[in-house]
Amino acid sequence: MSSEFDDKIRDHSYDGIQEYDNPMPSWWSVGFWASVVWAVVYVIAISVGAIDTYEVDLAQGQAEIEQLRRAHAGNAPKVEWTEANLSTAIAAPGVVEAGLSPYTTRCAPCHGDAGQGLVGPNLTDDAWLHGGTNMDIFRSVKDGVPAKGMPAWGYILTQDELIGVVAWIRAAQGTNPPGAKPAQGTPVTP
Amino acid sequence: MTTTSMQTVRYDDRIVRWFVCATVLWGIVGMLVGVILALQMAWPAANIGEYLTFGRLRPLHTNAVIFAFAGNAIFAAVYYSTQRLLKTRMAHGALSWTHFWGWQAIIVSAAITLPLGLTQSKEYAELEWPIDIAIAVVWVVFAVNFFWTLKKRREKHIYVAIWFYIATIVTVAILHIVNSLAIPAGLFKSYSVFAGSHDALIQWWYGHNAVAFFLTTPFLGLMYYFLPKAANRPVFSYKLSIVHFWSLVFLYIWAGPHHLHYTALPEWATTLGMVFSVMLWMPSWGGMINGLFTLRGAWHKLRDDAVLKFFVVGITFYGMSTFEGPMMSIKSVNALSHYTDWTIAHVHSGALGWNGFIAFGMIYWLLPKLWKTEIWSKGMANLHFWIGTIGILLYIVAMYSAGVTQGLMWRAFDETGRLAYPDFVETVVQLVPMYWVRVLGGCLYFIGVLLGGVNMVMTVLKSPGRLEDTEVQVPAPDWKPDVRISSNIDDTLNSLEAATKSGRHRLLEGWPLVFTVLTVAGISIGSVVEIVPMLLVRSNVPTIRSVTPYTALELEGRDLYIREGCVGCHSQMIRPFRDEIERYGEYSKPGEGVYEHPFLWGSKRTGPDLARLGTKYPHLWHVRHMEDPRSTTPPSLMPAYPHLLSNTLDLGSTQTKLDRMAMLGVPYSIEEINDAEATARAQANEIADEVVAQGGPDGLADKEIVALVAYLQRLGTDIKKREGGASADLGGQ
Repeated sequence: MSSEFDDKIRDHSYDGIQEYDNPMPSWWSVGFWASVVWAVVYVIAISVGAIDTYEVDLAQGQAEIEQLRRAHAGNAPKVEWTEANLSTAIAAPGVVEAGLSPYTTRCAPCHGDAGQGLVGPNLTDDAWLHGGTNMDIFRSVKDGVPAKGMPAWGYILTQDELIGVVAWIRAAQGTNPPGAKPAQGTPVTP
Repeated sequence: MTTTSMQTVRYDDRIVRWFVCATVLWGIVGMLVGVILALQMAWPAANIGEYLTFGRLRPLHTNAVIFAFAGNAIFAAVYYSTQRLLKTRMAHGALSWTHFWGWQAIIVSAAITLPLGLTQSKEYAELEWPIDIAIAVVWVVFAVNFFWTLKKRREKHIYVAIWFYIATIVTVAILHIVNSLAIPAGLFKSYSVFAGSHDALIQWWYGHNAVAFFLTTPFLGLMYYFLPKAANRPVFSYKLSIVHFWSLVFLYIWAGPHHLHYTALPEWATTLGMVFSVMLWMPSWGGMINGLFTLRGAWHKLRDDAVLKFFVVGITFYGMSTFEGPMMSIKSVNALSHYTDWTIAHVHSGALGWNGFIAFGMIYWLLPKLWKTEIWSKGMANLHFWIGTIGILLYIVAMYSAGVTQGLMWRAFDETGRLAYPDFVETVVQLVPMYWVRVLGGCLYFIGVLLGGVNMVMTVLKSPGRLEDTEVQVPAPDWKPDVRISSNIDDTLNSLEAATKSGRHRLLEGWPLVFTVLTVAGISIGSVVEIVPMLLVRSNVPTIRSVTPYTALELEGRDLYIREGCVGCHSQMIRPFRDEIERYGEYSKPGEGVYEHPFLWGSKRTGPDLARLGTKYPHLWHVRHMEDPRSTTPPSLMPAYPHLLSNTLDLGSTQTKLDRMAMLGVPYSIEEINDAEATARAQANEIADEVVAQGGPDGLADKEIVALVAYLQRLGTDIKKREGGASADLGGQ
């Protein structure tokens, strides 16, 4: 290592500063030229299609996720929801409690932490804008009402969470929380 | 050379003293603002009132530490070392003082206008056009003073520090002027002449090279003078100086597009940005090697010399961040790091470690020389070093951990193929403990800077009354032209050959003008190759027919978005990743930005991307969210903007704004321009009515909030019009 640099001093001096005539460290030169070669190779490779572009990468990534989803859909038991089996499902023990967490993070910002209604309508009264049966509520949560700003949660919540949210909303009926928003829509007797 | 006559030179030390004081003063101010920002990130209640929110203070912090703190440090270094390296006094005192006071006035105007929300929103180029012009003028004054001094030099050859100063002065001028090209729409309002992808490319050509030619080259120049002086050792390798200087200057300018990986910039440009960044690794390390290897044989001095401690750790941080920079510019790494706190860690290891420590190393070395007395407290200088080092380490470790955590959370899918963290705010909550660690690290560094300030003041106070300029005897210049041009071509060639005997580069060092021209050529190649085709070749930005200009009210809302600095925390650029498409919607296309003067892609996602926000929430959600973000998203870290609900919407210059946009090529008709105010008023009433219908407060029709809501509801919706057919979708509002 030390033989590489013989520390021969150059004859000039700037305000007392002198410089050695040492060469660049050899690892430095190798590193520099290697990066230049790599740069050229990379540019050629991406130009001829040997390296994936953004679009190719994206298509592959999405195909993987699609496969994952298909596999999952294939494994999961297919449930055709009807008013009857939905009503049974939301009545099962623990389902309302399971709905509290998704309700609080997803629904409360617009419907209030007690369902009293804020930006969105009051969920505790008997008036409904998009139908008040269990299946109606399920569909509203799952598919949303995009024209009014209600997102389609079916893409985000799991099936259990969806059912939990419906159960939670059902359980909130008639609780008449403080600050409840005036009723909107058609009264429905469940 | 028979008899050398000696001449007396008096160096202007007074100007250096003033620049040193300004450095420390603005260092304290800039870093105090930094600590406040760090606190605001961890604890949103620290956003106080209308003028001191994160969005408005962030550019104040970046401008203060870059242009005020580092800028004054650079000027102190240039004025001190240039005079001594060229053996001449600065060319003209009036120019020096115009430079000093002009620069301080610019800083003060920045400190006033940025909290007022007067900003062009382009990063590190936020200042509005009158200040931009002042910057250009003051910079030219500096350049004239510097090059005139070069002309008057008594040392034929210019030392490597001067090379770096030359590169700094010419390149910063070019970058600043091109990136600031804007058309005024009022005394403190302007629109960038470039739009969308074009504006993004120009901005990051500027932004990255502000790092290169404001925070790197002048500091390398500084290092080449002050380090060998402080260590009293010769510079390790003259050859390495040459090779790393030219490669650095030539390669750096190409690297800008690495800030725009996976964005709506064509991939050829970002590929160039990436490969040139990787090629920059070794040239950057050339500076580090020449710094650290110069200390061979002087390491024992580190034990009790705070100056060398600052220099060694500063150069080490330079080495770390110039390895990390190329690494982060590799596309697949950038895919993880971009928009996260990893970038924040990277810039702070550079800014606090390299710029901060090199500047303070220089200041501690200069204090006794400039004020002709011992430093007040060596112990306190050492304490500053240690507390600062611990501060940096805490800061960057916290931010690396926050950045990687959030990057991984964003892209995570669960086993069913759904986003593992579909709620953006979940990924933010996770970072809050790290944000507190950053507050701690930032405070430690800030306390170190305060100690530096105290030490400086105490040293100045004990200096002997009247400080005379340093006077030295130097040989009178006595050099002949290197090359004798004669009618005999052989004679000319022979003299040229003789002149290159001590190296061709040595010859160039005696020709500063040629040196400067070559430097300009070096930085021009990369600039032209990237920018010109981007601007001229149409296919880089394919037209999307459904993309139309903003309505008058939306444009006003966009200006509020700019005023509040929303771009500091929200990107508007969805990358072509499966997780981002899942989370935000279709990825952003170049054609969507053709009317975006300036572009608002952003570079950090403290909050979620907003590129496709339009129609996602009802108006009332936005009203409530702006009034108090925690009412709709309880864990949110966003500042509250209640003033938007009470401030009256000013439509006085709406017509001018549309007119200026039309001048830039946005297709507004004469009628649209003439009716701008009335049209905006009508849309405002419509939105205010809808807010009431949704159960919201009355009386918002003439408030700023409706313009912002109009803008937010428009974001990213144009492309859906195409998908949904003719007139679909805007009805969702």
